[in-house]
Amino acid sequence: MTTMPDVEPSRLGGLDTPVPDAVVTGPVVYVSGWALLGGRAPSFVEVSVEGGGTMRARTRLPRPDVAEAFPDLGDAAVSGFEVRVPIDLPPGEKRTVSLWVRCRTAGVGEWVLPKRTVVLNHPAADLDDAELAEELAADTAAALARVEVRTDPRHLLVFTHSLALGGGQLWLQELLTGMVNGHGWRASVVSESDGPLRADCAELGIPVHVTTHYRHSTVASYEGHVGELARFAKCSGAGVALVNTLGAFVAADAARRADLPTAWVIHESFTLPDFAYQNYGPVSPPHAVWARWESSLAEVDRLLFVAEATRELFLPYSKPERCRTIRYGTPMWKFGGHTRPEVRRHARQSLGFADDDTVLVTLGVVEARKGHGPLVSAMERIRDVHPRARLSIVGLQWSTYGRALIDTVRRAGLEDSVSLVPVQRDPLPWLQAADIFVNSSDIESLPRSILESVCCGVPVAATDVFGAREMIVDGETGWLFEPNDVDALTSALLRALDSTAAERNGMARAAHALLADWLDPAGYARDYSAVLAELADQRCTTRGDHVDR
Amino acid sequence: MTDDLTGLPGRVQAELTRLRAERQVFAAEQDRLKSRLAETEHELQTLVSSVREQAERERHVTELADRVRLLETENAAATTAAAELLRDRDALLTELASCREVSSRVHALESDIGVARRERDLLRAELTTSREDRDRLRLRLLDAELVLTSTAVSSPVAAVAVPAADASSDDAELRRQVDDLTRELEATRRTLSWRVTAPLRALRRKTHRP
Repeated sequence: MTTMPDVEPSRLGGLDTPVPDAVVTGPVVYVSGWALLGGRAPSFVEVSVEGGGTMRARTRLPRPDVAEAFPDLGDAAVSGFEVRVPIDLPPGEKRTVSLWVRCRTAGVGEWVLPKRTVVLNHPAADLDDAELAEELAADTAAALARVEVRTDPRHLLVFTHSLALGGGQLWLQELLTGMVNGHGWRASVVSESDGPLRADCAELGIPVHVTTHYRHSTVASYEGHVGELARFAKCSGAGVALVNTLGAFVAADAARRADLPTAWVIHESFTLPDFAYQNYGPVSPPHAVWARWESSLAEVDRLLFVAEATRELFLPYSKPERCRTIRYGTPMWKFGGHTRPEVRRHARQSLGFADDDTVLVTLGVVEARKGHGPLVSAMERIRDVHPRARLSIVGLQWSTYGRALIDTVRRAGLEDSVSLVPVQRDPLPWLQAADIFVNSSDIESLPRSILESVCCGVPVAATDVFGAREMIVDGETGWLFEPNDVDALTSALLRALDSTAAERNGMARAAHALLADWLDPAGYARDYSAVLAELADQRCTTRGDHVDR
Repeated sequence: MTDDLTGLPGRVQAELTRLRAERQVFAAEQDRLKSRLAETEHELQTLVSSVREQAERERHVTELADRVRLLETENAAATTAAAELLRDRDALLTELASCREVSSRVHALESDIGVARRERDLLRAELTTSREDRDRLRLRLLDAELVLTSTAVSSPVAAVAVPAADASSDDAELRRQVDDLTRELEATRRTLSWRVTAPLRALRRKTHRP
């Protein structure tokens, strides 16, 4: 239950974690709490931790406990905030640090919560673990040395996390379709979990092997899984491996040990400590496994990224010549940056929009990182000056966050201005109906929805994060705004809504002209094919194998 | 037989004496021949040994000659290889110098990139500040617009019914807000971030960008 601090009523809030003088295990400080300024959730919350810098917190998170304590304050239900702050603290060290939280809302004021002190304890590496890792790796190497297999340089072994329907999975499916049908590759897929895309693989003649989730919580389980996957990789006869997502370091290590030239695609724009904290907890994987993760990043033949900003994030782990950015395209490139007037009219009619509505659309599964809560707050602030603005949030799911969003819309009386649309298999009509596309995510590498909007001739307002700034030039081909800041988001919406239809069309045309070169997904498959063929051929040359073409 | 020849006829004695003398001569000749034979055998052995040694020497000489020829060939090849190596070494030295130059350029470029990235990050921080200033102004304008909107959305009857004093009070409030915003704008223009981004704005004006 939330404790209510003794402060003036216009400034309410408190920190839930870390508790005062807590001992935090690991190199990441997770800060969470709630705040209300003038009875409303603040526009902006930033957290400073000694040795970790200042970071913006994710805001508008559901807090039913605060709502219960302050039933008259509507925003109390979404007054939560959180942020993870990685600290540069070597294993085996302990440090006492202070942290501050600052909240503000333009026109309301600023509030710095009382300073808090915590002790960070990064456990030392276990030397027995390191020894065991070496021993087990030697066993795997000895077993692999007994296997002699003829490899096919045009046979690609893919390691991926899932065959369910989702952005990352569909990306891979599109890529494989292009490479198999367009560039003569043969492929095999190893997936952590099964899903409907298995049928798509079958259509392409791609055999699928479903393994377990990657195991890395202990050295023995890690080395065991790496050994199994390495044996599979070696016996597959593949000449080159493609590993998908940052969390697939088990697979990347296995491909290396099977002596397969390997390209590792990293979509995630998180630092390693942050990624590990979110996915595995504060002290996992163990140091010996972590070392393998870093060495795999350093030694795989290619690290491939979808955004230059993500590449820059991972450069310290590798070498510049091994890191390459290949941005993906979208099948919607065929629309050529334009939606025909009759198509647009039909889409708007079918979705119930009036001619004089200004339709804003955002696509993506509703979740905290997509910033839907702040977007609804921004709509609430502008509705009186732009009463014809209509926002469709397409991607509602029955999650805690989704339900909180529904409550927020209802509580603010925004039902006419904001519609929450369940996840759509085909969201194209919303893009065809849109006047403005909004991306309010606080972290994105290369949002596909922005590309799709550009292909449909819809100007984009987006947070200025990672790949978004590589696609949008603020004020020229769209509007950029700072992440996790409702004031900035409100201002961006105002700038977009204040522009005339002609100005918006001009922006959309400029955006399409800027991105036209890499929107075609065929180019994406071609680039991947070239990279993988080069890796396979280099290995054949090194071994003295003959390469058939 | 005995050496005593007495009792033998004289002729026989003479013949025997002659034969004895011949035998002595023959024995001496035999000894001489034996000695000669031994010498000859020794000479022959010496000669055979010498011939063998000569043959061995000749074979050795042939071998040496072969080895010399081989060594000469090898020497020629080695000389060629050495020349090639020298050329390679020179080429490698040139390449090394070139690599060092490239490496130093790479280091310089990496350093430049580091500096550029730091400058970029500083500019981004400035940009964030500028955006915050801009957003704050825009939101103040929004507040003013909302005041106007709330006045405008009042019913016509209510609008008509507003006393002149209230209307002038609203006007005064709006004027005050406009003055505040103007001052805010001027203050923003005096900030470091506004001055830092001035060249960008000038460039945009020159290129007629929005």
